[in-house]
Amino acid sequence: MWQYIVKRLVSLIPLLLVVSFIVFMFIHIIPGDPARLLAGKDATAEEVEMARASLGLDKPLYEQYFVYLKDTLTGDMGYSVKSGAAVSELIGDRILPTLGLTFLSIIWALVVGILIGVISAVFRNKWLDHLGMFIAVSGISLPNFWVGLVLIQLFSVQLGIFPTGGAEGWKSYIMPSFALGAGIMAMIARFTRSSLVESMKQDYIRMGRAKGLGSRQIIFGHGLKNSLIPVVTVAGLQFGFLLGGSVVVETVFSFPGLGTLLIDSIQFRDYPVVQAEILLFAFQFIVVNMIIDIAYSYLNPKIRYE
Amino acid sequence: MPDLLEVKNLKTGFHTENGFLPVVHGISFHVNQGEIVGLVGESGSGKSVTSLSILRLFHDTHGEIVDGGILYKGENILTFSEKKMTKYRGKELSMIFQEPMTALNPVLKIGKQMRETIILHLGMSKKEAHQYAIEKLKSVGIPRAEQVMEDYPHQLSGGMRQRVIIAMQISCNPSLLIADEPTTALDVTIQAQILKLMEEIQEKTNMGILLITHDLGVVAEICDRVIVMYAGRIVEEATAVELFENPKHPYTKGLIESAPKIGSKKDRLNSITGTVPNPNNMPKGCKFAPRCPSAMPICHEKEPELMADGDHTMRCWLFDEEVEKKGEMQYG
Repeated sequence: MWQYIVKRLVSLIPLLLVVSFIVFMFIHIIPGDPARLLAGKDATAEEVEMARASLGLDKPLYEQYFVYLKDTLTGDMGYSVKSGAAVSELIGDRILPTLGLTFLSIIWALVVGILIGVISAVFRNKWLDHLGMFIAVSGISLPNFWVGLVLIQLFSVQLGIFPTGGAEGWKSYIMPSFALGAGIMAMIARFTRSSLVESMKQDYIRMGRAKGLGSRQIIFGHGLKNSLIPVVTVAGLQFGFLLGGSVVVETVFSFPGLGTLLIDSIQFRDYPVVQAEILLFAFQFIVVNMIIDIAYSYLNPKIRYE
Repeated sequence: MPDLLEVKNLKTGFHTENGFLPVVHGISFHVNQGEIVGLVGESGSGKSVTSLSILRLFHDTHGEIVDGGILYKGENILTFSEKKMTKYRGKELSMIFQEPMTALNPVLKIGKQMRETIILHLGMSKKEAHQYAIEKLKSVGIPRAEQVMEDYPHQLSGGMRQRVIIAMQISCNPSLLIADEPTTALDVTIQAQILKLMEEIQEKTNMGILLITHDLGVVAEICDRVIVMYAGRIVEEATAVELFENPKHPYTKGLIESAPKIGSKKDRLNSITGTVPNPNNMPKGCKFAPRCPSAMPICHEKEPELMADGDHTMRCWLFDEEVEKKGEMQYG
């Protein structure tokens, strides 16, 4: 098992290099001259050249890349054009609230989604199944910003239970994580249901019954673990999208996370911050993918030994 | 003393979009303690549905037992609650399936799957069950049983998996073992080993075995008595020796002739022409008549009842005394 994880970690290195190169090229792909952009509209040619030198853009491309790589690895991601603060500090302040929010969302989505999926599969075509699938369809079809607005209207404005926004105290996490996780919960519920229904038709389930196992042991001991492989795939992919989805939800709840930072930075053309955030998102996606792969090997012993 | 298992007028079928489709049409037979009974027939003859009926394994399917009785040690298990039935499955009545490749859960270790039944039915602790399971694996001829307990199903060969399943299903000393095509998916050499193993277990434990198969070679090898099924009906029943020496029903004769024989000089095997009729579209009269080389006019009109000749029973007009007389009048 550990060997497998180490192997997977090593295989990340080339992938990260490619991603970092693409992100590095970002600043060169932007239309216009970043040096001129930094120096300002009225800058003289001399000032532009100075800005160019300060950005290191006068050096050959490969050298620039290695400098960029070295800086990034040592945590130096440049300075915000807008505020002049170190990008690493800006991101450092925002990363914990966003991670907290995404984890809360994925955890409740997994727990509730799997539960609804199992109930629906067990009571297939009964009213509990219809209710579960109604919740699932609602979760998929209602856009999360709208869910967020309704929640604010109901629980903040009308009832005054939760704050409308911010990230102070656990109460301010409840509504954003609900809005963020609703869609994923719905997806997970649907996948769990169909996957478990499929598992329950397998020979080993009949074998389990012939052994005298009760329904609970059959479902949780034998059926569910086999059904979780597609569920993990969906949950993992969705987790990746959560990082993007949080941009919208964070904006609705004025949540001081990476999503709102990204929106602000894009609006102000604050390229160093945007660049660093893209690298971070890509990195998170890769890490999540790796966690999915490891989860597979846990769920499917065949993967572990091949 | 009552028979170990007595099936009386069992009717089982499936609910489909076009209504109820009967598959087993009121069959009756019994299995004694210490006896190996073969249930033979082509695919679609209803033999697997019969075996599933005995354990009432129609969960997540549309199957239903609509009539008849299944008496196990004199008790009608069809009247049992599902909860009581669960206690009997694996403990009193056990079953081995055709596909050893898919009958074990691929994501659980053999040890877990072995222990599960033992803990459930024999009330052992996990540790005791582990030791007990190792003994059982050794008793079915699995080398390095301790290691196998830690393996996943895909790490074992088909023959090994079938041995594991047998060990699992006899671990709680059931009185009746139903084996549904236990050797069909295996290599010929492994088939012989598994059959020998089953015979040994039967001798040791004196359990009754209902062996479901389409392979008459398997029947000849280990069965005491044979029941031949066709289109959801029993068409012939006799001791194994009698059946092979003196088959009565044309279908049974066809089956015996279509089995390859060692030492036979024939280039081609005989086969029974046609296929088992579709349950949706059963012929009137004898269900085998359309394929029968000896069919008479009455065979297409009226279905024969089971007729007994001592211990040998058959469902065929050829052995009806009245028809015999009429035939004599016609041709005589």
